[in-house]
Amino acid sequence: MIYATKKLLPITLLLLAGCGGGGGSSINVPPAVSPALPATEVANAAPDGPLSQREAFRLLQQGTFGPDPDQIDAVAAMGPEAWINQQMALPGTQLRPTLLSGRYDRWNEYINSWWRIAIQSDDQLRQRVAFALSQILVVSGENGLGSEQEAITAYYDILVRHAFGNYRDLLEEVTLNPIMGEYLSMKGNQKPDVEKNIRPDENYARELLQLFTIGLSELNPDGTEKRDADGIPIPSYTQQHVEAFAHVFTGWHFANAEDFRWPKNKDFINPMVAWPEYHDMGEKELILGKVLPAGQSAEEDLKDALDTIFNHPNVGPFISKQLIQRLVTSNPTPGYVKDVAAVFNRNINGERGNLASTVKAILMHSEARSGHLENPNTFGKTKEPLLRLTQLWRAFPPDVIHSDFDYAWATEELQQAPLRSPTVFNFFRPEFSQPGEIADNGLVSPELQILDENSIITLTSRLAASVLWSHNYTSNPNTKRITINIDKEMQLEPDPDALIEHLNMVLLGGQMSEGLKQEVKLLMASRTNKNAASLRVVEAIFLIVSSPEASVQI
Amino acid sequence: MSEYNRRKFLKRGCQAISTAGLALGANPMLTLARAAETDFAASSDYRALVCIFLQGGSDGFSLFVPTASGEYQDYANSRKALAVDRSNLLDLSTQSGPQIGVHSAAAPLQSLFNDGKLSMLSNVGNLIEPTTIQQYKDKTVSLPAQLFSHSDQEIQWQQLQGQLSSRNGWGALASSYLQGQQQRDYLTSVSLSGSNYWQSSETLRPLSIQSEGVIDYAGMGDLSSDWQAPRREIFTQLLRQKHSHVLTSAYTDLQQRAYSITTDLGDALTAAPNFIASKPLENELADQLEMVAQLISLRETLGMTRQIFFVRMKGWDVHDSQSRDLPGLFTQLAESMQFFQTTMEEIGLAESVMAFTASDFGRTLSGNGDGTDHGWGNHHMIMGGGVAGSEIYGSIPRMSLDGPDSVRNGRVVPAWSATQYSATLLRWLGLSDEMLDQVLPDLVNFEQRDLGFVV
Repeated sequence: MIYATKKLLPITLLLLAGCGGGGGSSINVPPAVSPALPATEVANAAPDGPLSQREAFRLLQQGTFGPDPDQIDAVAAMGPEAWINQQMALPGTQLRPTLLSGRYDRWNEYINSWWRIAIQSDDQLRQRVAFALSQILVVSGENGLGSEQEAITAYYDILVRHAFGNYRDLLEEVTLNPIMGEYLSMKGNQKPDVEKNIRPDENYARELLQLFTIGLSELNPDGTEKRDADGIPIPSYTQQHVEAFAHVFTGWHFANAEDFRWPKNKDFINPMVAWPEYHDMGEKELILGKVLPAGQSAEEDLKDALDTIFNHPNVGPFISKQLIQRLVTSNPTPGYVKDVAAVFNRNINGERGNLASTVKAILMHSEARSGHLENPNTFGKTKEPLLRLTQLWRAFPPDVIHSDFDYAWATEELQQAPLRSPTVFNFFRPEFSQPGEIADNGLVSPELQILDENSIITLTSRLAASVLWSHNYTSNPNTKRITINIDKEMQLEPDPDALIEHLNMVLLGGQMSEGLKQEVKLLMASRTNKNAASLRVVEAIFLIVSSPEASVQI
Repeated sequence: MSEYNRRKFLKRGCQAISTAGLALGANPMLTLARAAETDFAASSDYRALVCIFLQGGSDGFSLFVPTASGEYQDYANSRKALAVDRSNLLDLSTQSGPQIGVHSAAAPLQSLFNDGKLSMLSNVGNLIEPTTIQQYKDKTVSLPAQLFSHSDQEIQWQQLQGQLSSRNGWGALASSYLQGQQQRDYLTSVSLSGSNYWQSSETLRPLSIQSEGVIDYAGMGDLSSDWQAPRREIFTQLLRQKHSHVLTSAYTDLQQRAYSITTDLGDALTAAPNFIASKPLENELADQLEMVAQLISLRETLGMTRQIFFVRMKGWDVHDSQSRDLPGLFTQLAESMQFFQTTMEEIGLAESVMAFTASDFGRTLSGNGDGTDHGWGNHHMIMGGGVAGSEIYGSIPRMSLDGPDSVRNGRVVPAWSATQYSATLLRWLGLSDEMLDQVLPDLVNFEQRDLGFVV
């Protein structure tokens, strides 16, 4: 009797199970958009209407941390636009309250809080976009800031709040955030002091331009680089510009600082405040010929500088392309980037930088919905290691996530954890290209930059441990791990073909190769000992989630 | 009998892989050149280069400080509160060179230097062609793109392929000449710190190993387990399937390569020695260098005569709290280098291994309050028996702010190019002049092709 093993599930697990993820209303923010804007604001939008199961699976792979098997049919019936609207209307789940309701006395608990939300929250699209933004507007707990975990989560919540807001608002809140102020040393940055040979710190100024807004080179509206007559990219700013912006961002410190140089009071959560006596009041020559007159306050300079940068024509294609790469495909066509950037530049209400419109344009564009049919051998992206795990855990959702749960050291195995990038340049660069077929064809593969002979083994091993030894038919589930629930699969197990077809849909969206199906059957058949039903199920799951086919989001 | 049993398990998975099959391919452009006569092709001796990359832009101007009174005063005037105090400088004994002190937090470097195992290379950085201050100001010289930007300068240092963006690192291009002579070509170019630009090209990536060595696949790695055998066999069987999607195919290749190497190298590494030299504790750089030393110790078993290794130390981007953070970084760096040198002496290979430092850029002579910003030229180190030691190569730049050697608030213009530095290292490794010109396209712009720090 194959269901018997389920009785081994210790009842204590259910009793001990404490805090869930998402949950309570106190930790939510209201939705940012109402009413929903029409998808047709993007050129070349895909036709809306009901989807097949496969198409619904693709949409959920792009817009969530992994398709929830129970929602595939519902989303198929709704069609893409209704699903996006529904997602955007959900209140946002915030990371900081989730941390504070959990075991925040533990080292790097914020990473565990992030896992909970990624696996369990309903506002999946917002969370996926916030995570993508965290890979552009990077701060990291890696070098010393890890001890400020509440403040780090407060930073992440800025991204959650603005995920469907406006990029200009987001930029200002990020700029004044003290965690960012510490990470890129704008906090405490002061006007020149000739006597002491002190000049303004260039760190934030440089990365704001290079990584957060306009990038190194002038771009065409479709995201391709402009070239001069010699074929050389045209820099979008100079060292002089960096120095001018460095002067702009002087005179800011902790909201509660009692001293500008070495304050004892360190408010890492509320926005930094200006100290007029440390702000440079001189004239500043910014990009695009913009000159800030002498005598402006720190607040005026900052506002004008951010307005100037935000209105640079690079911002639309620069940010749109990276969001496309994080959600949909590593190698979007220039036309796709151009259509999305046009929406970023000006949505149907005449607004620039509206992220709800931009995200909707990304997912509703015909290339997102059917690019895999036109370019079956190149469309899509290698899944980030973190998403391999969230997808697994969302496909077989645990009944509860135990309060002991701890996977805060994910970086060691996955080369990736939220808010844990090794540098401000993110885990991988958008232009990384794997040698061989990919480079030879002029394509990029950002996520492959962190996969190598070492990390592919640690990733595969984590997948093995998360499936083979962490399911609800093992006799002693480790409460520190996520226990996947395989009840549904156990019901199908007597009919291997039915089980494989089911796994094909929930893990691969119906795209499983015949070869993989054959191998799964062979492996299941090799486990012939008594009471091996659950083993056959998890062997099948492991082989599929660790397979090359599961490494790519098509 | 199940279908599975009829197929029978392969013994030890992909054991039959040929080592040549592990390489991601060879650069066809270079294949012809490689066939040319080489100094090392027939040689049975061993040589290895170890790149110690100081991520973020190391402040060489705090590590090595001029001590003659006028020069020190220039330095102190520029660095003000950030200047290293005279009392914290340990004298280096040079034959006739400039008077230089090394930061006392890096004391082991003083003994390495004075014992003739280490030399300093003054003011080297990314250049396209020889560049004077005047040429820089007049804009009459080709400059590296995006000076003072981390990612760009790090990439350019590791690639040295001129002004246009490139996918080729000089380490990878050099190793493509070397790997054909190695019994295990996949071990020609090894990284202890994951992906990097130095060892990557259009056709190659380094083998990535972690400091602990090769690791097993959970649930499949125990070859003596009958229980794991079916899983392992089918997992590896799957990797033989061809995929038309380029990303799926690339993942398959990587997994196959990882599996093969784990099996092949894991066995060999069990014979690696424990060194007598005491390893500095809680020092990730030392951990990386220990694994490099172990791999080098196995060179004969593994059939290697030429190798390049990449190790990385993070934390050098001291925009803030420089005076607090730098001494600890210096100590870790110096102790790791001394440890590595001692291991090489233990196995009698000091003459055959050369370690060198590299970094994104040096730092500004001026401060920003409590730190320094992205500069240009920097001091670097070369260590090993092949180094003409106890020397300071090149003249020390004047440290006065925007004096004769610096621009834009104390960004020192390099006197030597990283291209010349690399050419000197690669010549020692055995590359011919023709190969050097292929690997380092800007080398022709410089008269001096060898900086002379090799015995």
